[in-house]
Amino acid sequence: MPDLGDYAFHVLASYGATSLVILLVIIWSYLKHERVRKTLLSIEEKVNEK
Amino acid sequence: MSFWEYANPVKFLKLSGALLPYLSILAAITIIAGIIWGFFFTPDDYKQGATVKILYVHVPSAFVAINAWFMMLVASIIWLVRRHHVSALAAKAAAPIGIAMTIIGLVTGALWGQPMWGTWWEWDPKLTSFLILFLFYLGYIILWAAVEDPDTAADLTSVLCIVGSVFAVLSRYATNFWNQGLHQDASLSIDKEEHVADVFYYPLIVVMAGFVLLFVALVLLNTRSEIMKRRAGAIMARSRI
Repeated sequence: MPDLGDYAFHVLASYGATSLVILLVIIWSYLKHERVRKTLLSIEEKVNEK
Repeated sequence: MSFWEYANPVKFLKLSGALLPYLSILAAITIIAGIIWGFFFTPDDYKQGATVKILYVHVPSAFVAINAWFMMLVASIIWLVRRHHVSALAAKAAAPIGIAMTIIGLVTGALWGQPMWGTWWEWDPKLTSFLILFLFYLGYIILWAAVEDPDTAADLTSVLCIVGSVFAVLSRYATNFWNQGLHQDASLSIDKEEHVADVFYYPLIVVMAGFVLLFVALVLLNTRSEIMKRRAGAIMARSRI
């Protein structure tokens, strides 16, 4: 771990905030994609059953 | 084979489905490698000390935030001119990624500014235009959600995107237009004399490449979601499920 001296809070908070926002946007995108994909599949199945 | 073939949703889904795993893995490897290189294996700056390490997250996020808007601009113009639905949906899909990058840019900028400038925020031309760009992203997302008819929403958001481009340009070039404010000139330049020293430059380029790959991967994923959502809506309307 490099010595960040007086700036430890600023540097670590920057990396923490970046990681958090990127993780949130990845998880949100993935969950949305899965939800829509499953909805489309179930609708297509219902249509095929008719 | 023409580029416009991928305006066909079926072809777009097929191609994006094949590309996504590779893009995602490449983005993850590039970002992690660049961050490790920059954070652990570069020295402190003689002026900025350890805060120079914030550069590796601030510059790539601001770069993607500004260029995401330009990508949305191109997609919006394609929608307005050629009426390809995939391009309108790609612009819509890019907005949440763009606003996330803008938030990162603003937060990391403030965290760098406090110890270096002695203030978290300054109404400097570059910072102010970047904040306005954030508000445009917010307005763009809200407008898509507020208008029920998708084609009308695409038309209105495309016009908003064209207007907001002024602030995307200002966010990038404000320091060239106004010789005032706290924000320094661009960290990267084609003119090698102007940009940061090589020891910071190379890991920065790697992280930036990773952020761009991540942006492309997420835009593809979100565009797929939008296409599938619209297809589900169309089937439901047709079959009255």
